[in-house]
Amino acid sequence: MEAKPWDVLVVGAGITGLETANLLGEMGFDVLLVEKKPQLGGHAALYQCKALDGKCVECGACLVGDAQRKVLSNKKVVPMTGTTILNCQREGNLFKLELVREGVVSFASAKAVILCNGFRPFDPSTQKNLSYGKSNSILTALEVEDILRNNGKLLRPGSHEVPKSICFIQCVGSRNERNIYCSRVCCGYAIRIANLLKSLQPDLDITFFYMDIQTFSRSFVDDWAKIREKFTFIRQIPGELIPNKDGTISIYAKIDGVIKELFYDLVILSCGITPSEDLDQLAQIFKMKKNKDGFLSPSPENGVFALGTATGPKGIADCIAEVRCGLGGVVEYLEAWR
Amino acid sequence: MTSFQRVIVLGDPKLGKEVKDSLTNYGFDPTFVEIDLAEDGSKSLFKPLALKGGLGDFSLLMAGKTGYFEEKAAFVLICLSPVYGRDPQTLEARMSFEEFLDYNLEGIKEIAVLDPSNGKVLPSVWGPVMDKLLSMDLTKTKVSVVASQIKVAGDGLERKYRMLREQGVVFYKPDEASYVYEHGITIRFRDHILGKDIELKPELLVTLDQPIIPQHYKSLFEILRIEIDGHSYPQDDNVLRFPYYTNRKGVFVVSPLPEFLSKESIGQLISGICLEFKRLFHEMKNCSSKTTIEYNQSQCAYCLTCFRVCPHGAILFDSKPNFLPLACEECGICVANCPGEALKLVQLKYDELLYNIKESIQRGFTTAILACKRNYGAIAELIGNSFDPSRKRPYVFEIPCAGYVNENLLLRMAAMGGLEKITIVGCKEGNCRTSKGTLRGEMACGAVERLLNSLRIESPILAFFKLSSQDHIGLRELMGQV
Repeated sequence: MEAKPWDVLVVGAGITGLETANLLGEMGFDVLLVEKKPQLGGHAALYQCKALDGKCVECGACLVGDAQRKVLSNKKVVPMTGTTILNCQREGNLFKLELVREGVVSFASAKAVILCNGFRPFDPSTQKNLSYGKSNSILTALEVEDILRNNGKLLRPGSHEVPKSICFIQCVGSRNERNIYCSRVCCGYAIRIANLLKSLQPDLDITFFYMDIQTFSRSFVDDWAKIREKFTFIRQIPGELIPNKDGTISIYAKIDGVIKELFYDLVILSCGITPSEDLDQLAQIFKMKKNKDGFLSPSPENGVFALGTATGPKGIADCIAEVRCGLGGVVEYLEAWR
Repeated sequence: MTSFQRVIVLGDPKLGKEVKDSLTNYGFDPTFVEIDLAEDGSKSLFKPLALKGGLGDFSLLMAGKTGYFEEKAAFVLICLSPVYGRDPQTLEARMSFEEFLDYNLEGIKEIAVLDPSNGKVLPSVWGPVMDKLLSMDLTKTKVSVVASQIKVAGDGLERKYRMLREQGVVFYKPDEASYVYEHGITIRFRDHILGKDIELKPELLVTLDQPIIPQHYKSLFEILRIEIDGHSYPQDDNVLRFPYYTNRKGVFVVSPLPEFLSKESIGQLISGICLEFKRLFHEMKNCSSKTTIEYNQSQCAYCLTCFRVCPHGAILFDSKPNFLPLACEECGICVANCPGEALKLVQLKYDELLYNIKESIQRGFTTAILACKRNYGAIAELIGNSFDPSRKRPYVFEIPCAGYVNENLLLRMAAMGGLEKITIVGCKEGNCRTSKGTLRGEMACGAVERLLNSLRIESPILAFFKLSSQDHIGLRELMGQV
């Protein structure tokens, strides 16, 4: 059975994919939105709103909910969850696609392909000095969000104690020899979580180990002085995290020329953005090149586009901005398509 | 209706020309209007007086030297160029970031690049600065960079930063640095990693100043009825950074701010705006001229309240209010604030809402939640609307916006009897296009609460709650409250 070809195949229904599909749908194009997970939203849907005292802090988490709703009510967009792409053949100007959903293979064709396959958070267990997994007191920022969602406040997993002093380690898995790039989002993300924790648990002491703080919102310019007073900032990345028997973590830091041992009840790792696990496979299927940092470099002349964190680290707002500006090329391609 | 291709380009001549050329390339028909809002009006070409109409049919009124002009277009584009804040005392002894990029640095032995804002310089400024430093012969010139934060959150910046360090550029990161001009330039600061005080005496000092929005743009935004945020950026959405959508549908802004966009990015931005034009064409074609607000002339006091409170610029007032269907977001704020009750929201009239609330009371619900359309889904999904006699469950009603709730509605709800609690759920402050809705709803709630308290009437407990679609903690708290 040969169905009518889709105008666009959008791969991945994270914030970029949702926004792309919705915008193209609104412009009258028929969009097939393929997502390998059973639900729409991707990584961005896992984030908690970080507003303080009812005031928005520009984290962008709510935009995912809005985008999900818009896509579900957009008649031009057909979402297919739990689906992966097996293969793709070029036939003239058409992409002939082989899709698989719950073991059943189906076929579709599209005029253009947009890869919005997103990212994978850096896996801290691959870096031994972080002792991740050896202690309940070392968590990733995403795990902290889970704890907050389930308990409404921060507790140490296992013992359920309320921590008194915690620290964030920035640039885990970015700005190092392996990944020579800044992940862009972690500074803002960590500081927003820290602000939220401080508002929930005002007597919590929070320290940041960092290299440079990256700008993360329009109000950063005003807020930075206040943030610096609220938390302790130590400009170095600890060499090693040492779990102690009482559950605390020891960190050695050089402060004003003197090396000191510091103790923390809980250590939160700000893990960076790395290329998504199926990036290689998709790059092969759609014959895309990778850039120096291992992300996709788009080849728009072939009708294969890439947007969002598939092309490099960026935040929710930047992903949407890229879609709004970058789709111009897609629309031109589709209008010229024969 | 004006031709869909007509666009008025307003503002800065340099950026405006660029924008005009690229719009022509994209197949539009732009008219450039150079404006000057300087107080003395010395070189004034055209002074904008008002922007009437809405998407697809704008009309810009201007005063020129020889009389009044009117320009019609489907869209309006404002080109906004930043200026750099500079300390006038030191103006001659140092160089700004823009001057530095074009300067021939041959023969200079020692340069210092300083961030005087203590860590606010954006990656989009560091990018060109690092490129310029990399283009220099760093074996002949000693370069020190003094900045509390080096922003590398941009394409390839971490690699450039690394190359500069390998080539001998020294980066100091003091929390604060000061500089003085006494017999040349001296920069002083404490390096906390080395644990010592440092003094630099460079031959040339480059300062990375913060771009600011000139005052006359603020007046322009006021004239055009465009809302600005705390930093004077004319954005309707505080999260999305690309500055092209304002609270008036069909009015866009092109500017290198707030991210200090490069030339290529501005090109992309214009392509994005053209895409938005196309999307809006589509919307205009499919939009039937439906009535969103019913108007009853006999109750109208011609007070212009609706015109003033509309956050979307969707009301055009001539002999009566006209509701532009394309721009109207059906938030109901005009209806809630009309003192004569001359307006009715077609989508959900107060009488209908009150009837539904009464029905829920008859079915045994004692708590009513009025949730704005952005929050209704999450709450309804969580509690459902089936009555469980063993547990007092709240009934949740969808309203277009928290700003649709006014004193009258709350008092009528309270007077019904049978309700123990009324909770209004709106968006977080600054998080919604209908930004004033939350504030207006909260004010109405507070006013009625105070009124009922002072009258000492037994009345339902009133609460206002701010929620967003991913606020799991907030949703737990709300459920705990009701």
